[in-house]
Amino acid sequence: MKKLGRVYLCALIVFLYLPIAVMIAMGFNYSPYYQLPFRFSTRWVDELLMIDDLIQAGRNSVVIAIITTVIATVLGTMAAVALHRREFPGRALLRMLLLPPIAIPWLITSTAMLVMFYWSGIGRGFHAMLIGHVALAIPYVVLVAGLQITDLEKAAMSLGSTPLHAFFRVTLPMLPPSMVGAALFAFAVSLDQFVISYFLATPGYTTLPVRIYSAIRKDFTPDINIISTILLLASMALVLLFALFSHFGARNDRS
Amino acid sequence: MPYPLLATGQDMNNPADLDAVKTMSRPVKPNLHTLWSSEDQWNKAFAANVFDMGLTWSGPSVRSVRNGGLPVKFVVPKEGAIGWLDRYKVFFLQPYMWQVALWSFQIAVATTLLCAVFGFLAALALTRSGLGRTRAVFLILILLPFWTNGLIRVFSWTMVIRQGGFMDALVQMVWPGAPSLGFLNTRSAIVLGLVHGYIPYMVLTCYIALSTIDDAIIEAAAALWARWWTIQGKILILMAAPGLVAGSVLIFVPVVGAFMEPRILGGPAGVTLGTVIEGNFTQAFNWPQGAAISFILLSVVLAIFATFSGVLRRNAQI
Repeated sequence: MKKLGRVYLCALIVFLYLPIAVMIAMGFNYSPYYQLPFRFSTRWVDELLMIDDLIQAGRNSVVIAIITTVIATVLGTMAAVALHRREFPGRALLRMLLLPPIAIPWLITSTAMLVMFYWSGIGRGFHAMLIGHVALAIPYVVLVAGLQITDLEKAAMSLGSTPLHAFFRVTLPMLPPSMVGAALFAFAVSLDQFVISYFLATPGYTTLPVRIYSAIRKDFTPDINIISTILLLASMALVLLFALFSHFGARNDRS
Repeated sequence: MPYPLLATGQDMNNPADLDAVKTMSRPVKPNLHTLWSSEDQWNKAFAANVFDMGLTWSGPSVRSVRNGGLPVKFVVPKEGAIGWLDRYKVFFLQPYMWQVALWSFQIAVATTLLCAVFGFLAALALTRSGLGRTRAVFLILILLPFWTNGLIRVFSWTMVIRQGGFMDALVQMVWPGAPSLGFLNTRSAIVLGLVHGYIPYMVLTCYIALSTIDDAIIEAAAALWARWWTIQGKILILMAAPGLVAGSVLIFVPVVGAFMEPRILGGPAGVTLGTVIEGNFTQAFNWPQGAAISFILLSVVLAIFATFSGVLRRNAQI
């Protein structure tokens, strides 16, 4: 039975990674029509560097992800501190209201944002996408940053510390590790975000996932595979970094 | 296009009725000056008396009056008008929309069931195979794709399951001259892509539920001569039930509104509520209709969350 379990897990992992491996390999296949048998070539890497708007879209993605990370991490960590430290009326409600943005399908969230932004005159484009990404990343930041906030402030105050002193000397120094984890998370969420960007993008300003989607819908050559591979590896690296940082899985390991 | 259809009493879903629209619209075409594409364009053209009468959205029209002082008014034609509530009526009165909703529902149910079976088995294997330290490695490997770009993962399946793709090449290697097994642009392809995308959810929720089961319970059951399937069926599945329910809700909700998987893997067969909403916003520019369907979908989602909120909350606390 135990052996069967391991075989099954390995099969599941093959299922999860096989298409990704094929996608990466096809980026190095010579045929523009994805024809097999496989013929190794790096022509698509060279061609990718020539496609300016693809490179530009990648740059836009990174810029939005960086700004989103800074804003969402600051706002989200402050919210997490407030939610964990203070008893105030409506706290339970506020905490519950964090979940819908994560759980409701992005399609609904983003069409609602589009209608709202258009109606209120915010419009579409870079600033609209940025608002959307920040709004989406904040709940994740609050949840991730909140995991590691412990209530030592009361302990400090019971030992004679003033509230302000306790905040600056006890709570604040404890924040950076959880903030780094939350920031990595926010960056990954923003970098991979497609649906919200898709509805809020303008023809002149897109992000990488939106650009990839429009290529897939119309016509594409394996250079799309190369850029997809880069994006995929970037987000995997971010998540692994996050896992290392937050000692993911270590606490659950009982055996 | 919908306006002449409605004006001439045609069926909006019957392509044959488009001829009637053509014969009716062509004579009045010279009266049509411009199809505006931005609020600014409309304002400038109207202020310059380029046209005598025009249509605009309600939001921009308020700004036209307030900022530009243009003589824009809200008018209900004496022949009647389509208000926002009518958009909801459209959804419920069109058999076609019911068909689309049914397809979306079928796809979501199939995806959720497949994820439940295979995800539960994976969680079982994770907890009960004596993996030790490698368990964390397996768990990270299973969860890692979940945090990568879903669009790219869906895209990568097209290269595997299309005719003459990787799967066909693999089969041809074993059995030269085999017929193509490619099934891109079918509903099965959509379900495959969705299962691939969402199964990590189910593995995680079931794993959390199963890892709280005390080994002593299983040992006690075995000591009392419980049969193997009694242990599997009565103890493990029942105790993992909160995880199964939570995982199912977390998968069903996004899947019922999915649009990029049906678009990319389903091709012409991939018409779902999600693609209809997307189409109304990005292609047909019928935002009110898209918003109406979106809101109907949201109410379904909220109803599901309300029904299972107890189970979800208990699961979140573990």
